[in-house]
Amino acid sequence: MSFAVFECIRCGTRVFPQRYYCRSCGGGQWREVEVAEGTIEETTVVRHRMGAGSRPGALLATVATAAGPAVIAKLEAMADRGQPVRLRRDADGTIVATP
Amino acid sequence: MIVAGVEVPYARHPQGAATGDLLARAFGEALAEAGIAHGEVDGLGVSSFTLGPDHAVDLAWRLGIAPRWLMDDCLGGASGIDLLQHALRAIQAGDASVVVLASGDHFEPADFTRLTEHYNLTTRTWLRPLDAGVPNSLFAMLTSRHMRAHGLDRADYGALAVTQRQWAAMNPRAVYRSPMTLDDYLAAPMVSDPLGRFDCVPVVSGADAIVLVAADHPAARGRAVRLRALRSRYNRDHQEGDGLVTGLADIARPLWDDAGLGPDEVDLVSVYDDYPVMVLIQLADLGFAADGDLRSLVHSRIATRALPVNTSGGQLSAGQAGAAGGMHGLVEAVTQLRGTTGERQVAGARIAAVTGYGMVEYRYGMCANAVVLEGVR
Repeated sequence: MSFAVFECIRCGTRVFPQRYYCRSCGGGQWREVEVAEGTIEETTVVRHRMGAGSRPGALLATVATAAGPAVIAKLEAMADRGQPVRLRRDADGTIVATP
Repeated sequence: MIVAGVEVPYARHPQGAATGDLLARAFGEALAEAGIAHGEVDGLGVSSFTLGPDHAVDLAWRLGIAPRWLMDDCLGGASGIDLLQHALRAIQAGDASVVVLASGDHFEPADFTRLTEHYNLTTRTWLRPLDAGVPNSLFAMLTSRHMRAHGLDRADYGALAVTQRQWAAMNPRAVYRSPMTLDDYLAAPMVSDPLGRFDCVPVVSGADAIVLVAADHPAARGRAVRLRALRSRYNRDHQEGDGLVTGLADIARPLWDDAGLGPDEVDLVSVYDDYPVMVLIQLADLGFAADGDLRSLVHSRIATRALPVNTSGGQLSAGQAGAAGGMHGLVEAVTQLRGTTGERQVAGARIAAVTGYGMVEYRYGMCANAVVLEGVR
């Protein structure tokens, strides 16, 4: 599934996740803008977490999308800052970044 | 005027005590410390993640009080100062004259997982599917960003944790009091790179409470604490910045103007310390590193105790009891200014600054507030 951010119809401000009103112009109508690419801003390896269902070694990234907004994504393989990634959204809502 | 500040001892794995029990105990101990009769209380403010399905009014019923002013707070790490802001105005407006503010949580491990995964709709929808240990992993990435921006390494953040542990050794109520060296800090298992175990607050159960009265109340004639300034700022950058600046940067100037003093006149600071990086960010936002040199702030001022920061040991050593974490630093500052902290007492402490921070929406905390307090005898 493709990943999309939200663009204010009135002023073009792009956000993710979606809001009710635009922080810039107060507009309340949005359109989805698909974005398939981004750049890695930050990564981490999650080595321990509380509770059940932990995935030791899970990779996480902050990705600057080509559309503007930054997203937090599951990283499929370790990559460096500044490296380009492909973005997708899985059926359960997981945003996945692939180097 | 604040006339009492108490903390029900935090516990890592307590048995049997429900959240309401902890809040009720804090309520009772706060009144006893203030020397105020139960029947005098006409205001109650409550913050808790786990009191549900009860709210403040249910707690009022259980406490046997009939308040004229009542407040439920949901601001987590900023809850103590948020409650204080509204209670102060309520007293000034005459809506109440004796207000008890209480924060606390009792966690079973499953409670905490549920809380972090369903912290808000954004977390539930977009972060929970990542199965990636939020919020630790978010603050791990924020710490990496901060390291690069300021040329810091793990040992600099570690010095903060080690110093707070030294303070905790003098606090009988801190959950973690055993000595910790920088080597211990660096050798601890990693949680989410670059954060290790001692960068992450231990989750505990507990409660805090303070009592606020009008300035002409008899209880205010003893050791009391006056609010010189209080400011708040929420959602300053709509989660579209880098998280390295909080709303404190926006309120610092008016806060110090209202207080009629500056950071160099403060005797101690309680900074909301969910992670060491946030201690440095908030102190910088408030002007405690005017030259921007955070390494010097850590090693020359905080580690030497020239600037006493988080003298209880902070949440990093005393523990984070959910919403009580938003009142922990306030209670420590009040106790210091009333001169009753014992071994860790800051000599001559008269002015304290306290910050609140928290409520991660998507990438970092949205809430920031701060108060400047003055001890009066």
